[in-house]
Amino acid sequence: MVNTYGTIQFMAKPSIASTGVVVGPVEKESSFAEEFDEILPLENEKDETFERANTRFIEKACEVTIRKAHEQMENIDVFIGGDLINQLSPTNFAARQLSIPFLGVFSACASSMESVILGSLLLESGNARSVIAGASSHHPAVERQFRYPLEYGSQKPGTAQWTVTAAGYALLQKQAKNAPIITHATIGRVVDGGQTDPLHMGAAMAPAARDTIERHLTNTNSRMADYDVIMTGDLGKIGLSILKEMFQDEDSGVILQDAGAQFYGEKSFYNAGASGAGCSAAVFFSYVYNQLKNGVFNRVLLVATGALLSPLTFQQGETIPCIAHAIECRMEKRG
Amino acid sequence: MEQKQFDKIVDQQTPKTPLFVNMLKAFLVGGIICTIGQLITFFYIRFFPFTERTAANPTVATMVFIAMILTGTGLYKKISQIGGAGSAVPVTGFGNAVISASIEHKPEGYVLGIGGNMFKLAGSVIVFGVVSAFFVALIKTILVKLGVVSW
Amino acid sequence: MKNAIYILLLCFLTACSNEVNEAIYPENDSSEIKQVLNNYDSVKGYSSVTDKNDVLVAIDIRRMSRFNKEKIEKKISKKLEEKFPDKEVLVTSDLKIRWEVEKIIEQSMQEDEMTKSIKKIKSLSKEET
Repeated sequence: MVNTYGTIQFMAKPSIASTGVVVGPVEKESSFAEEFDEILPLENEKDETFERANTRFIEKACEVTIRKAHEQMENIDVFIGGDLINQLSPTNFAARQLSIPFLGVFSACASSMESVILGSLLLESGNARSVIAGASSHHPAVERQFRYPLEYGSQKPGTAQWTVTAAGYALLQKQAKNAPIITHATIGRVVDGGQTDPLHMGAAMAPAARDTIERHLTNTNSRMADYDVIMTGDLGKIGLSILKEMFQDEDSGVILQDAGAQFYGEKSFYNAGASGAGCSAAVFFSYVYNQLKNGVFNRVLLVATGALLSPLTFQQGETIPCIAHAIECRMEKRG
Repeated sequence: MEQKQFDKIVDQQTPKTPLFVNMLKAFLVGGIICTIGQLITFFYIRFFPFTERTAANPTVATMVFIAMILTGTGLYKKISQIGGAGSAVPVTGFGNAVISASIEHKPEGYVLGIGGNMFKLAGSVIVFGVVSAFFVALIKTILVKLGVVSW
Repeated sequence: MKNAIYILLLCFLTACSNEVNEAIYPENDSSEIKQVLNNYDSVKGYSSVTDKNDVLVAIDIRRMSRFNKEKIEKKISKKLEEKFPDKEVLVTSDLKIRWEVEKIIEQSMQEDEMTKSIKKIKSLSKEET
């Protein structure tokens, strides 16, 4: 293991053995809908709070992940996860049900990649054999915490993004068969672009994404063209075009993609696209994972971006600091 | 990358808010809501013993009731997305703010949830409504005393 | 959606009808009220009923003059009080009272029935919000 300025190189070949993605009813409209493992018909059951529903989504995603790998829940060594609700209560409550040794992480929407990085490090150090890692978000629960009540009529600008209801988890194991391996990871720096508009997260997160991607490329001695795709988590359509503009790289036009911008296709109802910790987790662990497995992609860089704001800080006039964590996945030639 | 350069990129890439179109939509939506309110006023004057002055109270109650049903069914949110200020400024917007907060906080119980959070958004409307009413009355009183206007 | 727009347009158009209505009941001693009211440009139309104790005048004020409606009402009622010193005068631009007065005129009510209606109208106008 060589650590250079935040970029970690994994020698033990930690791999993504299986993934599980459970989404809510709105995500049926997603352009990735066919890739998801399960689409639940309701955001919450009758007499169930949104927070409790979020917990249920996490539990379900973990079950699906483990079932797909033909594993037993007892054999999982560590469970790492995060979400956007205060004190990570949905993930904590899910951990109560799963009763696996648990690490809760928070870096807003970048939690998905942070947990994967930590899980890979546990495998690398040899202190765990199977780690389940991921993140989730639940639209109504997040909306009521960060913005206005759900039914409150406030006009959303074209830069606003729609927090997805989704939980995406992945089972990490050393050298699983026919599975993409995680070769590098870059831990993000907290970058502040001086943005203050909580309804324009794309602009706030773009500098963090750029910082992480740039450092990853320099530290691994590679160029953008070496990757099949560099996918950011939830910059949205406007955030993605800002990021492309910042790079001024001839390859950035095609290779730089964004999960949030593509999540709901071109539907204008969702304005700039999707966001939330579940957005990056759902797309990375379904669409990108499947493409890697099928050999369409060979080398991808997954960058989950998170805006580290709270309802308090933006009301107090603070700028929005952001972070981006990246992992590099490769599919080895079969044979 | 410098902050200035970044700000320029953000400015370039962020779509401009269509101010004129938004104002027009707000005018139409707000106008339609107020027309409905006026029709309800006429209804109360015609069929009930209310005068122009006393009909205002039952009209407001009816409008808030309509706003409540629209909020509960999720329609008011859609109207607001089109109307903006046009649907926020009339009393229906106030009703929407109160009702959406109550629906939202029902799981936390009736006293601490609904009671405590009902005026989370609408509270500032009440506070600044009272404050501005005080100052308007003060100004008018001074003007009347000076003989500029009459009551 | 299109139908709704047409209906709305219809509502806007019908609201603009410009009917001038001048009615005084009973007509025998009408000339004095007419004299007073015709002096005011801002009064578009009026309906009035009189019985032995009361004079009730419902006026229709021109749209832009409506900001001064209380001033106009007060002025007219002062003038009318001078003309009818022994009667109680009520001048108002309230829509409800205008409609009620018109109802009396339409039904050509008899003396005692009219007194009852006028009493009811007066109590209505005194009601506070």
